[in-house]
Amino acid sequence: MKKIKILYIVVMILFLLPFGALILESLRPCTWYYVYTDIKTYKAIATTVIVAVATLILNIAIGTPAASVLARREFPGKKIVELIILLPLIIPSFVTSMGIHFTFIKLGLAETFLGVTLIHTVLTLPYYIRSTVVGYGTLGEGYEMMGKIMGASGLKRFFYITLPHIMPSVIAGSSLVIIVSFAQYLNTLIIGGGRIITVPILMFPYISSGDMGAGAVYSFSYITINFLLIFLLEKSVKGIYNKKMSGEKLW
Amino acid sequence: MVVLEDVTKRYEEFSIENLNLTVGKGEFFTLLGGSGCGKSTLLKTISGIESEYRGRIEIDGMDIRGKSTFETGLSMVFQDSLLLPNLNVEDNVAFGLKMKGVAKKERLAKAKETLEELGLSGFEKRHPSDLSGGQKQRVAIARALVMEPKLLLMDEPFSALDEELRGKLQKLLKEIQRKYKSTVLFVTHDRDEAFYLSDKIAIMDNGDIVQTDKPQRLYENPRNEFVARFLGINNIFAGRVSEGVLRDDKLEVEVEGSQGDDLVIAMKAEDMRVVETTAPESESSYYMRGRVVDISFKSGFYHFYLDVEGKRVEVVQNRVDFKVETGLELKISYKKKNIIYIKR
Repeated sequence: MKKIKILYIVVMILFLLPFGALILESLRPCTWYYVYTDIKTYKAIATTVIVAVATLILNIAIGTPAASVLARREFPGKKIVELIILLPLIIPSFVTSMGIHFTFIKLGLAETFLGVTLIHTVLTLPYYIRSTVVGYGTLGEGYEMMGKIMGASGLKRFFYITLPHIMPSVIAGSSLVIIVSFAQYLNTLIIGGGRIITVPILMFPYISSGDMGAGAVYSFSYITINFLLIFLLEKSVKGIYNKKMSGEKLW
Repeated sequence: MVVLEDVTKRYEEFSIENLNLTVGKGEFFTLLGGSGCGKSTLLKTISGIESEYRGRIEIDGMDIRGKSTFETGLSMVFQDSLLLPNLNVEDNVAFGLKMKGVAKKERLAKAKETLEELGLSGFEKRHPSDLSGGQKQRVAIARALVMEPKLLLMDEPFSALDEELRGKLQKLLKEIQRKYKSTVLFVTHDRDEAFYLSDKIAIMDNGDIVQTDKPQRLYENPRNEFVARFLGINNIFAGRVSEGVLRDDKLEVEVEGSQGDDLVIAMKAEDMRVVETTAPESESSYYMRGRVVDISFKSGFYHFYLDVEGKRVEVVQNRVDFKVETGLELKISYKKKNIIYIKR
């Protein structure tokens, strides 16, 4: 037990140490003032959050039905569909986005907010679907069969039976979507063409040019907002389904 | 009343063909059979889960084809309790009423009442993950009963429970069913369970109903060898009658029958006794000789297995006044009146 405790402390120190450095860096004179008096900061934060939330909404709308089918139906070519969905994880993401860029230019989606949201969706969908498939996989047919016998219509069955059941994996997938969307730099740059400025794009020049103070403040803000968004996501969902969400069993 | 007329349900590997069945109002009716005999399929077809079938299914005079379970007014309990894990016990029980649009106050009051009936007062606010297997299944039964179903379908509801618990729930179910005179269609592979609970039993084999009757009548008059064996009657002999004796290979049984009749007969293990070879023979009994090949002692009864002219004969009795060992030669006594004539 004692050994595990020591190991735990060591890991925590290793994990927290960079944060300490980050905080120290950000405490250089005037950095916070410099970063947070610039209107670009607020714009970038707003853009990042809006893109992430829009990406999440698209993920839920496209990914949930897809996961339902992939988890519970057999059809010819299923393996190929699964592979196509996973491809963005395997192929270097800038290859995907450079290819899509050409199409987006033709469609007039390049350098637009929608274009950036769409490329984020392509890159996050594999995470969301993989996670939600697991949730559907543990549902089985029994519950929905029972719901049907209890007189619940298709929509009611989804909201009262399916959704609460898959919610933990939807939350897990959604958290990944937010994290991955937040972290996009190159792909946002390629599709956004420098017009859509998110926090990573704004902070990159500071870090690469050696202005560690501003870089640290941006990094710090980035992490905080990221956590906050995931926290809000979980809180709001648990508020709606204010019940036991984390039973020991795969409820 | 539930009536099935020429119901046919086909799968690739298995089918139910032209099945007819009538369950009376307030009757506890059991479909009894081994796994894969079609009993669960039949239940699913009646429940509306399996909507593709030919023939006619009527509940209280209404053809259920194309109707939701909602309209047909039936409830179902599965082997798995299938309680919604995110809802507490009372919300689970009230779920069907909620779907029906019953006001919250009313549906919770009804749920509470039904839970009390099943001995689950005080469990209203608990979550399924806090319940034992038996409690979960009682909640599932409450959830079905609260709908006041015209027909309650039960698909092996107790088979996942341990024996003691199963007995308790069977007793509870029987009491409730008698009290409310609910019409129940119950599916099980457990013979004892079927005999304990049912007013009537239909024995199923290979997608067909082989025999339907009251439990005791089934046991007294099995229609064929399958039914007899399924009900645990393993001493079955077949052969031709000559001079009042049926010959199954070399084994001879004294029967009532005319010369040249081909008969199949069954003799219950508990209607026979083993006696020592030296014991005096009684006028009213008949005897066959055999050698003990196996002995087991189950729930207070000796089960003797004897080899009689190459046939295995089972004898069950609660006491024996002499020492029986394997290899010992004994006489088996039986009475003519106890012979069951399966095929005359």
